[in-house]
Amino acid sequence: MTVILVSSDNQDFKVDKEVAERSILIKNMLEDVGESDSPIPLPNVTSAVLTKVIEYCEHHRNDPVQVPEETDDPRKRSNDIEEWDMKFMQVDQEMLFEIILAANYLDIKPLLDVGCKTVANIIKGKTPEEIRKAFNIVNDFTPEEEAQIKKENEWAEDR
Amino acid sequence: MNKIPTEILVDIGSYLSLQDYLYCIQVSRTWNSVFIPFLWHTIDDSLHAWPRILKTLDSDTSKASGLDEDWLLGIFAKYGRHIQHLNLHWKAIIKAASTRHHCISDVDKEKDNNIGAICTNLKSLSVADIDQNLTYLQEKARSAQNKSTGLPPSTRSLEALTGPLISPIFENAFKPQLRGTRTEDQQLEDWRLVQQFWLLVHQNRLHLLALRIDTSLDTLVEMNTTGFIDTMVVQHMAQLVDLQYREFRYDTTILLRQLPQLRSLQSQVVLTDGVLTGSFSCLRCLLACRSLSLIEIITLLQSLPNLRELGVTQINYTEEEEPVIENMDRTAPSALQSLRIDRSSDCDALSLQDLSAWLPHLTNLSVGQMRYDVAMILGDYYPQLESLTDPLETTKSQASEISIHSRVLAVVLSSCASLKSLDAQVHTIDMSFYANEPWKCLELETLHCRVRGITRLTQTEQSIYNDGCTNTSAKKVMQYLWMDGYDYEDEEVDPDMILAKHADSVAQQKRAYNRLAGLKHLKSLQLGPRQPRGMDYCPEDLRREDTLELTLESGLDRLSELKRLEVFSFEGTSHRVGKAELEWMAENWPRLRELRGLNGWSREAKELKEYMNQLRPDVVLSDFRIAMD
Repeated sequence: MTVILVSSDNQDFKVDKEVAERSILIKNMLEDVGESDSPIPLPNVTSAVLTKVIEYCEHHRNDPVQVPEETDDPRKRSNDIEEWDMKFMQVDQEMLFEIILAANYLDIKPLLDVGCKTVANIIKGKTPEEIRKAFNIVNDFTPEEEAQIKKENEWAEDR
Repeated sequence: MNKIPTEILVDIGSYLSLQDYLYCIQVSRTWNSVFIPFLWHTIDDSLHAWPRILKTLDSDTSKASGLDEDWLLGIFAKYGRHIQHLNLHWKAIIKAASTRHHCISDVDKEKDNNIGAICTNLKSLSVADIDQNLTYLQEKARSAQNKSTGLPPSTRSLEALTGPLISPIFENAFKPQLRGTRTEDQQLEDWRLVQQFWLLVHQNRLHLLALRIDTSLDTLVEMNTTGFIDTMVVQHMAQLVDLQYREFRYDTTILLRQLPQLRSLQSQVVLTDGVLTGSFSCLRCLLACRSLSLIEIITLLQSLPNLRELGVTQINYTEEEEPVIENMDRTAPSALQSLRIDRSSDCDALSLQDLSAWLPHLTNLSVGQMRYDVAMILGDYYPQLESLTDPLETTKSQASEISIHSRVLAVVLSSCASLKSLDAQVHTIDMSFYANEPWKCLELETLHCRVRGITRLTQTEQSIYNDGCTNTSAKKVMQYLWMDGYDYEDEEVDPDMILAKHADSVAQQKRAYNRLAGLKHLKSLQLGPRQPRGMDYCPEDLRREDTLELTLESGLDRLSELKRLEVFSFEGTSHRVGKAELEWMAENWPRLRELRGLNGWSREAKELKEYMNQLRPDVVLSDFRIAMD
């Protein structure tokens, strides 16, 4: 069985139902509508991004459903990324963030996780200035504020 | 990046480390607000730069760097609400965590009850060792006090001593006592500090999941535990999951009824009529903090169907109990996996025999100063045992008091087939007696004990041997020693005797290596004592002359089958490891990641370390000695 997804720029994508249902959003929509072959509009996702997302879902169509990790400490999650996913995420930064936003909108938790891990790996080991440069962020602190933040959190320095 | 909603940024945050958070908060205002809660989520003042900062708090250098008490109070006032897990070791942090910044010196406001905790979102709170960690000012006060000995103890009344209560909840909570060892001011300070700590507990009592208090808090001020803790903890903290409070004595049945979520309890068990009334299926871990009779232990096990871990100070056993135990219900075995007995007693072998009927799942046993008769029964009564520990440590003061039966480990090694870990560093295997007995525990992954009883050449004998062991060489060495002022008169030097002794030594060692070589699953092999707690060096009296040489000549190469070995330690032994041995280890133990024992400041030791670093840069060469600050 197949379903038709329509991107924001009005392109049709014909995919297996099983693949489309990797997205919890689509899965719930299909359950609500029942048996119907009317196309599903995805006004928040462009065709370029949707192509990537479908590629991911195709590859992971048989993955078991993810059990959410129950940890009290939100900071101790593993950074490991599968090799295929790592290659899949080798895209320019704009696309990376588009994929993350799409995964968030379509509710595809494993893809969102891989996206977040990829961004986390970019952040890791970078100084504040390097992070700003990597993500094109404007420093909106005054030098005084910056110095104060540093001093207030000096305990977290390693030495 | 600006399109990314903060909730996704929070998701990203969960994959980062403390060091990353420290940088992320400096990126921009948005990032700051997202990552500050991550950075302040868990505060442990024994980690990171805390000890360095706290130590110098209020010293001249701290004033200059701006890291003073005001700074501390300021950051806790600003960020304290983000803290969910707080591990305290410093008095200054207790003060900062529980006091509102603007009230510090304002006595009038205190009276208006305007003072309160600023860490109001705590899920866990631990306090330990607070009397060990002193800030600059405290250290100064202490040394001043030490100088002015002979001061009469305080003559003020007890009421005056406690100072004003910082909250009415402390009415009748403490038993203030005059302590000759502390000045009046210090006792006032202690009193205040303990109140601040409990105020912190009070402010978080509705959502705190873990509360861990070590004895150091009670040494400051004696608590009226039954009254105060009853209203404070037992009546109001029904959500508590973990309670550790060794000094706390409370009827355990009532405690478990009031705190039904408890999974882990460490406090003095009190059993009215010797039993726990009811069944409490939540509790997984119970450290009783006192001695229990065998009957009490069995009834505890029956009332705690899901208990996995039990610790007692000692097991009491009398013969009168025997018929009672005979008639106790054995149809419902316990789920217990781990049993800890801090101090062994004469009757442990009998108790453990009787207990075995209830403990079919016991895999971990820890017995302090384990006795020979206990070792004798383990193989028969606990064939499923996977881990056996003797937690006793060697410290200088203890060393003379410890009497350990030299056969304990020999018996364990030849009877416990499923054992994976044997960690008993005060115990010894005497290879002169036991190298020939077959070992059954071939699954061992961890072996920490001393291997001794090896015949070894003395230093003089060794140098004569090295020189070719002829009469001329013997004379030469003696001459050399004579010039060195060495008194050799009593030492009889007979080259033939040295050759025979050497052959004997090598034969003994080869037998020992053959035994060890059979333990093909070994991941960690530690043949010497661990660094005693609180000592920063290996005491020389632990260095024994009858240990394995660990040379290729004496048969080290027989250990080439230990392909899984990750940690090898020969600290505190008188080994003769040289470059050839290091080359051999580097080559034959591919998974090796930690090597301990190349200690000392001698040129030779340094060279060996450098050599090993070149051979295997991935192997950490841990030093016995900790880095001095």
